Amino acid sequence: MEEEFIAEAARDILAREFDRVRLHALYDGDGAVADRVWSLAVEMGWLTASIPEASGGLGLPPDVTLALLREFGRCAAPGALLPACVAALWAGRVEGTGLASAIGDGLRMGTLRLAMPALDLCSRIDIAGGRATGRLHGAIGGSGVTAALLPAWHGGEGAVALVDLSADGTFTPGGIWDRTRVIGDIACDNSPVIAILPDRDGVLFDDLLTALRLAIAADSVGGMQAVRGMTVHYMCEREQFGRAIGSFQALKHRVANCYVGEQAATKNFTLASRAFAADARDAAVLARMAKADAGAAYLRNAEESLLLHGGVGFTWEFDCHIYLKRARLNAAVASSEQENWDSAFAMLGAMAGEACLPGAVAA
Amino acid sequence: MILQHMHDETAFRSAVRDWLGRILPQRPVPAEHASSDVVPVAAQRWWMAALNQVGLGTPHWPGAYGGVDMSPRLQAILVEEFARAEAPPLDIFMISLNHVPVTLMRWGTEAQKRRYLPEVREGAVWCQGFSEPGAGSDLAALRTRAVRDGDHYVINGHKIWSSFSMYADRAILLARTDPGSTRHSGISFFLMDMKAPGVDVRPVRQANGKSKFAELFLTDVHIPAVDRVGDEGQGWAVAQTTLSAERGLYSLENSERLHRAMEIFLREAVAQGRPWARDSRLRARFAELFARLQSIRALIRDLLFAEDHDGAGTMIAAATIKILFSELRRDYGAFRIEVDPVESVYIGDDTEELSANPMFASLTSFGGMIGGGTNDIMRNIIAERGLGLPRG
Repeated sequence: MEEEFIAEAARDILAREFDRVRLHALYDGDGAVADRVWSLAVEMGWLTASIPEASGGLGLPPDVTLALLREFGRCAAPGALLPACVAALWAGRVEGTGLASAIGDGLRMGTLRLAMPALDLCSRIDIAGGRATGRLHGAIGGSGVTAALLPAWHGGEGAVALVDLSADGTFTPGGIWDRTRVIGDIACDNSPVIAILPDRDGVLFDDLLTALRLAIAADSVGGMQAVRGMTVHYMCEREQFGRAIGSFQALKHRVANCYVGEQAATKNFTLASRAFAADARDAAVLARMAKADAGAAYLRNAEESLLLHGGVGFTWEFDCHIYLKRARLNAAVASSEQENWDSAFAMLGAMAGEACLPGAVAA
Repeated sequence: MILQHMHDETAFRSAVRDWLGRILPQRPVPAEHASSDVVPVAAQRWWMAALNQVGLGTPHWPGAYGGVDMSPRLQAILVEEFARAEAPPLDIFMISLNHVPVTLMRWGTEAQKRRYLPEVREGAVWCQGFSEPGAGSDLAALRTRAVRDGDHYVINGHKIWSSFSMYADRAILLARTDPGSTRHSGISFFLMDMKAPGVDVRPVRQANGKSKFAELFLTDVHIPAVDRVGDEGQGWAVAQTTLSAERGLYSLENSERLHRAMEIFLREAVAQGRPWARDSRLRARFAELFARLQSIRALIRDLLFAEDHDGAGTMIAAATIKILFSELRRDYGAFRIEVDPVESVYIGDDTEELSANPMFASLTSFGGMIGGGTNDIMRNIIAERGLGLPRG
């Protein structure tokens, strides 16, 4: 429950420091807002919470970072926090390496502003002589990206590398619908490699994607709860035909359906978080299921929220479109819903013969 | 003995599993033909007797009433193992094992407890006479009359959707004792002998072909006044206790059985290289249904193992689980028909468990969305009591 205590404090701080006015300022292009939230996160130790102490972090369990990500999702916090927290979750898996320390130190000081694969999960950069070359489309980053955590080929074998983009290399943000996030293209042009780990069988990169899926699921859980809460509040206030619109059964059932789907998605996220923290055998499949489920539930809640707000829900001034666009991006990052379910099926099928499917009763 | 391992979960589980391995091969083969409307109950009666032999008939009851005060965790282990071993269900004992004791322990007289609880432990079947043709979701609209006549009441009325009442020895019954009353007031709670003159039970055949529930036509049925539970006019409050009966374990058992069935279905599909297991859309659909089941299993455990059961929170969680699970069964039934449309056309002509048939599973799932409070009533509860939306 430690994570809930920390998350609750973060929720209060964010509600104060990143309120609706600032959210809309961010949306309308005020770059200072994102930097302010980044500094706040660094100052509060949110980014390094679950990085082992030996690697420069606070040494808390991964649940803490995941609970924080949920809070970032609740307030639609700016993009840079997500890749930072994913790297932090992953650093725990490569504890004791130079790469983990580079992540831990960089995030602790706030100087490491990361980008990592989000839409294109197949491309790899090439590394030779400590320098990286190659391109990657659709990476998730934030403002002022300084480095990228990327899958690579190194001497004909797989690797994961942290590449410096501050001088020889670029991260070019694209114009995307979700303005709370930054998605861009990475170009490594003989860029210096800060640290590299061999990843012959791709396990480390898979782990990174598992962390990314969990992070997106966490963000989605926070977001879906926020939009549903906002909608219930509006339905209690808004009156038509002489009564609060929330008293109409046709409308209240739609919110009840949102709530029910939210409970299932939240629970799947919790199951996946627990498996990740325990480094369980089914962590990867549960993360795919949690991401797919939470992505779909977030989208449904965001769509219903916009509709149940009526005309104002369709305006730029209200928050509904902000969450809807964020939900859409979440659905696209780290494989589509369909791809995640299909891959989950393959993983379940491979485990089925062992009579030990995820969640199976103790053998 | 299984009960001697109650202090050690691992030993308890393995003792249960060993015993199941020995006892279940002795289960009687159902005599009923699959296409018959009769629900096979012989296996359930045999199973209840077998459980009683090892002290597992009423493990959840307090020691004072002949139970063993078993913790929710151990009870969960029991149902996990029952589901794993595909033990017979205990549907016909649902009311007697849960609703009757929870009601009598709170509201019953000493004489009522002494008379009826031991009988229930021996395997008496009870049914519930609450719903009426004009009082379904709106139970308080019930019209069955109970008129006091000396030391007994005379009952006239019509009850419906009473599960397994054709096998029942007794019924818990709601009837209006104050003829001028409406709604919640003026209702009283009775214990009725199903063999009393004037009780006419007519099975109602369901959409899936089975007759699981029945109508009760009550004509001048005499119920002794000592078989009234609570005061006259207090029936609604008593019934709230009845309806609060712990259904968590029943839900857990059903979800564990579905988990088991989906596991086997997946394993066979992969092993036999079934075409659907190579179709990306259907594979994705299966994974999605499977994920929903995992969330439900975890939500049920949260509810079962919660340290404090506050009224509203428990009610919202139970309503949420009810919607999720009944809709999952509907969707899984539809999925199974979709992957095997031809087989789903046929009923199957053997005495095997009909529940294996996709169309049967699909049809049966509709009952789950209606019974026990329709899903739309559940949505009202969630919206009004959980989310705080105004009443309509």
